Amino acid sequence: MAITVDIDREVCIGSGNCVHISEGSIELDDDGVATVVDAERATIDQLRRAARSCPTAAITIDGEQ
Amino acid sequence: MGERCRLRGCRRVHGDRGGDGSRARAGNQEQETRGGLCVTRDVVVVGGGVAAHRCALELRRLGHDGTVTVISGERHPPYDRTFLSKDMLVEDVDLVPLAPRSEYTDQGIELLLDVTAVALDADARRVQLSDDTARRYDSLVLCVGGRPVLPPALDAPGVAVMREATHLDRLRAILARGGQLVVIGGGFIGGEVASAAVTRGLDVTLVEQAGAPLEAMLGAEVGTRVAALHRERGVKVVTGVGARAVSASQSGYRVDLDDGTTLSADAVVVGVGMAPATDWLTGSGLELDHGIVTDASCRTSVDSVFAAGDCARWWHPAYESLCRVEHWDTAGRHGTAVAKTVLGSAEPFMPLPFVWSDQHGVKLQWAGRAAGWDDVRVEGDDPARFVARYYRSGQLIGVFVSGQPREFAKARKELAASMCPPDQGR
Repeated sequence: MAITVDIDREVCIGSGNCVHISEGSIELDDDGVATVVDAERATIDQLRRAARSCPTAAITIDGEQ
Repeated sequence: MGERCRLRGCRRVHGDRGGDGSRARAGNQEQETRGGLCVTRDVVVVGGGVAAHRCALELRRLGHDGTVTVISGERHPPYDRTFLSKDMLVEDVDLVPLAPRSEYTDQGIELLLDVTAVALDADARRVQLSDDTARRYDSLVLCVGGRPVLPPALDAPGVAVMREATHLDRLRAILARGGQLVVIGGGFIGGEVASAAVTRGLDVTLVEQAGAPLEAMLGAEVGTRVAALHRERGVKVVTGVGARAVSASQSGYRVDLDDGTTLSADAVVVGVGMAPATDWLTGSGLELDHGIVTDASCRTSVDSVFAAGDCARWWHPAYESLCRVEHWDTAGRHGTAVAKTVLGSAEPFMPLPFVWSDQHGVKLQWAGRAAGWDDVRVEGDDPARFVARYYRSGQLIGVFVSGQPREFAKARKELAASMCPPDQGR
């Protein structure tokens, strides 16, 4: 099933927590903003944890695995 | 520009290190930039938190090809500490590493775990370790963090604190047993522990010496709202009275408060602050003053020694004062910044301090300078949804937001835009 990971670029401050929580599904781009590179690398639980743990609540997860 | 160093400004240009920060000098210029080359070969990073982790990886990212050794007193490779007092108290999840072990290997970063630094010989450029070995360095980065303060009067057998993975087992056992929990201290850690405990069904009392949780930092207007959030979710909040003593007996704990009343508890958690873990550096020649004093570029008063993270008290050019910030986000950025300095940059570290907390399902966020505000304006009475702006002489210097991340993002940008060193104008 498709997983949708939405990151609000206006809200993200580039703390980078999602990067280590999501097993590389998310990386910081050249502007230091979190960007999805491959949502399938992480489990849905890891992605949900990344969303819940985001210091600025910039990440929204939708979908099941 | 050095051949190996990808940083601009490898030939160091000394920035303004005025004010108190001028006492911290940069003595490593000659060694590191001799002949225009970055010749630092062996970098030793002491610490196992996010600052140490980011520093080590940033050194490699910038092209440092000498050795990098990270020395941590913890048994685990660097992990996400923010989880400890949040998800990990509510769910049975493992530590979240900041990088897989293989990444350190691949990057040629040596991790020495379960070993602490016990003495610094700056003249010989050696760090003595707890396993009776020593490490020589060309550059030493101190990211030694801090320890939870546990006043002797509150330290009874079994009393818990929270900062590191080693504290987690005791706290988890407390939450698993249930019953009555007294949390002493209403700061961010105390609030998160209280939140997790009440979520798990414990009978929780939060004791805060000030008039409200977080009041010492954020004032009464915000503090009373945070107290209301705790109370709405079932935490008993006792304010305006400190805990004088904790004693243990077979039937549990007794907490004596300053006003003569007592509380009974099955467990006690103390969250009354943190102290930099710098005792071992006394007499080393480093300037210590409530932390390791550095200039704006993370350089200590001693040749080739740098500091970053919770242990460092650095000169913040925009705030024109020495700052020590105990927050995860700032520590991580500090680690990146110090790596640049080690390789020859003189770029000042000038972050907008930021902290967040998750309490009772509500995102609490702060950005700005925590000291010196003279006015606070709060919009919203709902403790799970309000915005507080902090001013000094009419200028916005900080913002605290409950449950409205988009409002926080807007205010944070406004703060960041207004923050620049006075000598650069606005």
